[in-house]
Amino acid sequence: MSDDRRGWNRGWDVKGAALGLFLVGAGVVLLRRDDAAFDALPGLAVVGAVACVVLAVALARLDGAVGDLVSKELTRRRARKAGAERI
Amino acid sequence: MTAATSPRSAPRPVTAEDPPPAVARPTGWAALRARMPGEELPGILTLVALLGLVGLVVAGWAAPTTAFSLAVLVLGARTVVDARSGRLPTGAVVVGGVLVVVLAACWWSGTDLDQRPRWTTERPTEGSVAYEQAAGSLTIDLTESPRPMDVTAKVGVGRVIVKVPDADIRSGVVDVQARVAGGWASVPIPNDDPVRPIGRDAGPALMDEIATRPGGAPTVTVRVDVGIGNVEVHRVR
Repeated sequence: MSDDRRGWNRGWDVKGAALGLFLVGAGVVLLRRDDAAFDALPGLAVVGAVACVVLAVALARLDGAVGDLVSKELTRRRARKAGAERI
Repeated sequence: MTAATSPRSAPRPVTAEDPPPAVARPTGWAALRARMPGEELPGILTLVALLGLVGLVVAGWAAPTTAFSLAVLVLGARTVVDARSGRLPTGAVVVGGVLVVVLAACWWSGTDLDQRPRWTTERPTEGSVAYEQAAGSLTIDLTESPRPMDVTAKVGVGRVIVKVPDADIRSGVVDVQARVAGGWASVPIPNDDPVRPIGRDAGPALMDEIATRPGGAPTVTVRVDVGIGNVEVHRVR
């Protein structure tokens, strides 16, 4: 049985991770100039994480709703077409 | 007769007319997880976060420098998340890198990105004045100013023009010293003119400095400090 190598199962890209961590560190250092924003960083991180989850769930629900609508419409058309061919 | 060979129990061959077999569809949280755009989600979240930062700046709730720094953080976090799935978001890395370089350069040169650029002409009337602006163009016209005059100007990004009477330079009473971290400074002087600037290119790399040669007791003293840009000394006849 072959391993699933899609998504997160592909493993880390070390170069990308290093670049990302460098950017995060640079962002934190640059943000130190603004004391108020730097102090608010933990709160911003929590708000950002919650916003990410909410957005992901909203997208999934939207995708589900739109997918169901499209699927129903396609099935209806197919059934109509099949009925017309039978007649 | 066994059950396997019985004509009643033999499976009927599947035809095109048969409905598709029922597939157990996930419900609840499993259905949501199955619908989540795993591959596209980091990109979508990054876009939403950057648009949110733009909105904060437009609404006046965050300074541009803070928003740029947060954008670097967001792009870095997105790069780390993408790296977890073995991908490298080249666009995010390039934009984040450019932002880091620009912000670091502004920090180093003392440029305040939170101020808007201005294009102004100043004609000082007091003996000692100081000007400071983040970006734009600053013209200091000293042709009709009282003497003695002491002017200090500091500009982050842009151009500074100092207008001084030609007669004052010829008599050696004007002392202009300009320092440009990234750019150039110039005193346009005719070739046959004996008055030459001194100290040009005296600083480290990327540093350009000029100084006019003053006489015994300068009555006009100008000190200009520019981060990125240029300084020009114009002699008004």
